[in-house]
Amino acid sequence: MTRLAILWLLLGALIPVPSPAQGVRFATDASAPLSAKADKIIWQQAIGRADFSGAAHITQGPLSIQADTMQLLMSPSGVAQSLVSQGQVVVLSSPGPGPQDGVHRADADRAHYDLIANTLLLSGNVQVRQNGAGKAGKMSGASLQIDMQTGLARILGAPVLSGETPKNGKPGRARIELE
Amino acid sequence: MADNPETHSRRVARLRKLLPALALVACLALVFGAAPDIGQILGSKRSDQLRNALGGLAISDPVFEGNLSDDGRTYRMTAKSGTRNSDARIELKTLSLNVSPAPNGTRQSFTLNADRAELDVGKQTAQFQGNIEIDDSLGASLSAQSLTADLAQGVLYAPQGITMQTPSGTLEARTLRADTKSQIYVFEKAQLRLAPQGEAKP
Repeated sequence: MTRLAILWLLLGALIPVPSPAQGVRFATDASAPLSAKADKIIWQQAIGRADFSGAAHITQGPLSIQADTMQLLMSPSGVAQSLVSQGQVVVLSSPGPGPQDGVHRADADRAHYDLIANTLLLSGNVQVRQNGAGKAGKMSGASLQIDMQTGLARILGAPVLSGETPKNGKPGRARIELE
Repeated sequence: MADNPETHSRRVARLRKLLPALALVACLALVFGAAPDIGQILGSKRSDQLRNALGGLAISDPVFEGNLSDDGRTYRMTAKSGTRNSDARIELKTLSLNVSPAPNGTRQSFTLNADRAELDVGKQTAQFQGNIEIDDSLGASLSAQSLTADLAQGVLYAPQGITMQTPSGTLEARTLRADTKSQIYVFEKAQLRLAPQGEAKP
């Protein structure tokens, strides 16, 4: 088992990035209503922004996100455009219908949910844990992108921060462990 | 001691003349964006006139119609009754207010309904109670059981729960404090439910 783990670590180190995270699919439902809860919401109508603080938590179908703070950004007409979560972000998805759809948990410093493109991008110390269907695994990287329509996830090695270029112009490495 | 018919008629005529202006200014200023800067509309001299004019009288089924002074929107307000309770307090029951859109399209139309409204002319405050419903022409609505307004500051406070519905979704909160001048709304213990993008109305 140890040899297998070492082998996977070596293979993981050789995987070019960005790459699809091996068999990782979060249970998602982009067509479900999005529900957000918080102790306090401050809505600044003039700039189309709502700040959530205090036990900020959102759910959309089988997927939930919790974080220290969240910001909902809206268009001038009031349509929600994106949701930015910061501080101890935890993304949880319940088991999906497929054989590989186990329980997934992703931790990160920041998450950006583009409600128009239906993508969820986690960045900063990303860790993904997978349990279910007889297998468990852990992955880490600088960022993770989830297609909220298909649930497919890609873990990326290089830091993806707005306005910032990866070091040396090259992406970093993702790390994958399977048990 | 009962008034003689002539005195009573004069009082009723005076009330009919003044109550519409008083009630209208206070109610319209209460609603989001209607006339938050009430100080410019209701000057101190006029306020004193109104305060001294209503001699403890009541009027049933009043109907008030006219134009808003700030943007020319027309209004129609009805109530089951209007009563002056004290020196500067007016109480309206079963209030219904309709305001048309601004002629230049800069301000939308809206309606307001409430079981009761108490207006304090001196303090420039108003309090609505019971089944408060505000709907605007953009499809947004607000429901509450209690709503207090500081008309001079343009601040609203709903201490007993509030529900807002917009084309994008629904927001429920335990309390709302709103500054209509800066357009900042603070909700406590809030839950927002966004409709899926495809279902949001234009």
